[in-house]
Amino acid sequence: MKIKCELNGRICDLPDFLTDFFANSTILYCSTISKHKRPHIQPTIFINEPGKCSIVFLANRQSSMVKNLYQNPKTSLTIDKVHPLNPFLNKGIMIEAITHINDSKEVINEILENFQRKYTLEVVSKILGIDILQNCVKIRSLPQKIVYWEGPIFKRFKCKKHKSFIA
Amino acid sequence: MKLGSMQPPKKYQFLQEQVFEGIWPFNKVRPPMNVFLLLILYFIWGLALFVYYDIPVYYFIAGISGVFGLFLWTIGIFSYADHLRNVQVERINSANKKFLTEFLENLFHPSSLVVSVLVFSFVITYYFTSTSFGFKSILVKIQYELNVSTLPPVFLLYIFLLTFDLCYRLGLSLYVILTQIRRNIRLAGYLKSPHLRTSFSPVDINNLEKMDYYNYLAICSSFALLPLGIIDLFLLYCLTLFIVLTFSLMLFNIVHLRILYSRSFPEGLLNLLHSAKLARVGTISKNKFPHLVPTLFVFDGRSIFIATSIASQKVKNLKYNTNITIFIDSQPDGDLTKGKGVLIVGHAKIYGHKLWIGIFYYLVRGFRMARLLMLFRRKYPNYISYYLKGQKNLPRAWQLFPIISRAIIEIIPDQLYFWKASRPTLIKF
Repeated sequence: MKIKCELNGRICDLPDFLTDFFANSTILYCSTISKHKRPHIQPTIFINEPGKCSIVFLANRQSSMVKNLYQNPKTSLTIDKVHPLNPFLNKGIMIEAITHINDSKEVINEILENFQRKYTLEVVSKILGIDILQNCVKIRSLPQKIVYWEGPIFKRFKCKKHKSFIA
Repeated sequence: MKLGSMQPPKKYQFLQEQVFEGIWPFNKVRPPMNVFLLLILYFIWGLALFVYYDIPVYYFIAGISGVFGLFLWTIGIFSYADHLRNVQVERINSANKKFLTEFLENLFHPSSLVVSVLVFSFVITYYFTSTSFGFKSILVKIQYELNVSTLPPVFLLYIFLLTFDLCYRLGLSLYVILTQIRRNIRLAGYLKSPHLRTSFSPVDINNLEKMDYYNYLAICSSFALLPLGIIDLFLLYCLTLFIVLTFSLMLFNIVHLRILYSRSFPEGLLNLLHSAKLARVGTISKNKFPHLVPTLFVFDGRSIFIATSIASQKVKNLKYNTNITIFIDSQPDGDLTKGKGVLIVGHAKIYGHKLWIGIFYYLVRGFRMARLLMLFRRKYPNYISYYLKGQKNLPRAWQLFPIISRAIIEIIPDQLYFWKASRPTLIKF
């Protein structure tokens, strides 16, 4: 399935090697900025909105990550695949995104099914706790910039098509 | 400093600070201006005596060096006291709180004066009784060189006041070092106890070491007192002996605290730091976005080091903001729910992003750099051999040329947090 992405005011389909990170990775590392201007990192499970490159994850409302995002919605999400021997075969993407937090139970309940489909109910409840609706918030992140790497070389992904309207 | 919500704030102060708070004109200005005022007053007084009584120049030089040493020492010890007072004791766990409170109570205890009085009594007795360069006593020698039958009271007062001030400081320096040694022995005992050792984080011990350096800085000012040896050789010997003694104790203290620092890392954390192959490093870019990438790392027992290209975004970000965070985790058997990790929040030092600074550092700290290289080679033998084979096609900035294209980043921990996939929040260590 193709993933559409809006970057720098342009919309385009993500190439397959980038789509692979969104669709087939299980864990992402989320970096936020604390009120003391220090980076904070936390791994998390995630899903991407069908057909879109926006990433959605759930997090405990008491966690430092959520507290930081309430103060500064800018985040960097990193998904990588590490080769155990050859550094030239390491791959990954880093997405600079703006997050939107939603604590509505109905909204969380809607996406919970997608999480359970991807990770199973057991994994989701072990990681996010039993009372997800009560304790978690939904974080939706809209990419502003995508950087990817193969080996030591980093490149920025740019949409080349002109802006068009999507529903 | 607050010692808990139920207790009134207690003010920890050295005697000298209390004197400054209670005596005009020192109580009219804030530190360090009051110390500067003391320097000025001693200097003017000494200069006036020099001009009025036609004192030989070498006495004037000795006096001024004494005053300057006094000034440097006071600045150092006041900074030390200030840093200790700012420790938020009420924020830490009970075992650590008890340990720190006890250390502060001992450090600022009035008994420190006893050591100072002993030093002063020794020096004054020497002034009056011991022969010096063929004279009956130092005072008689000064009397002779000033060509007066009795020493003027203002001159005597100056000598005694300056001598007391110096002896007080020398005595207090010794007392502070001995208290630090006692503290370290107690800390070593805590770290041996399986129940108490988790109460002491390596970051806390590192902070203690950092604070101790202010006292060591004060002790270094005793070098400024060496010209006092012009007056009397025996005083010079005593001063040299004091410097050797305090520096030996200081060195012992540093080494001991560093050993305790490496002992304070829990075994699980050490295993993770040595076994994990990859870490995620977070920095902050100029446009206020976090920047997060995976990286190789080594741990040398004190800090975490990463090697990167000087053209990397990490280096650019760290030039703008030195705050850095590194996350190291492992997922046993690939099970997401069993994931464990550590989040280290700290600040970074970059070595090698500027050619000349890089060369200077590699020359000065060559041994440490060689050790880091060895640690990287031992941990990542395959990675390095693949990289060396494949780097020919890379731009120069990404090749493995120390200083020219690579920078070493040291991450000095300020805070440590444990992470468990099955826990929603981090646990502060």
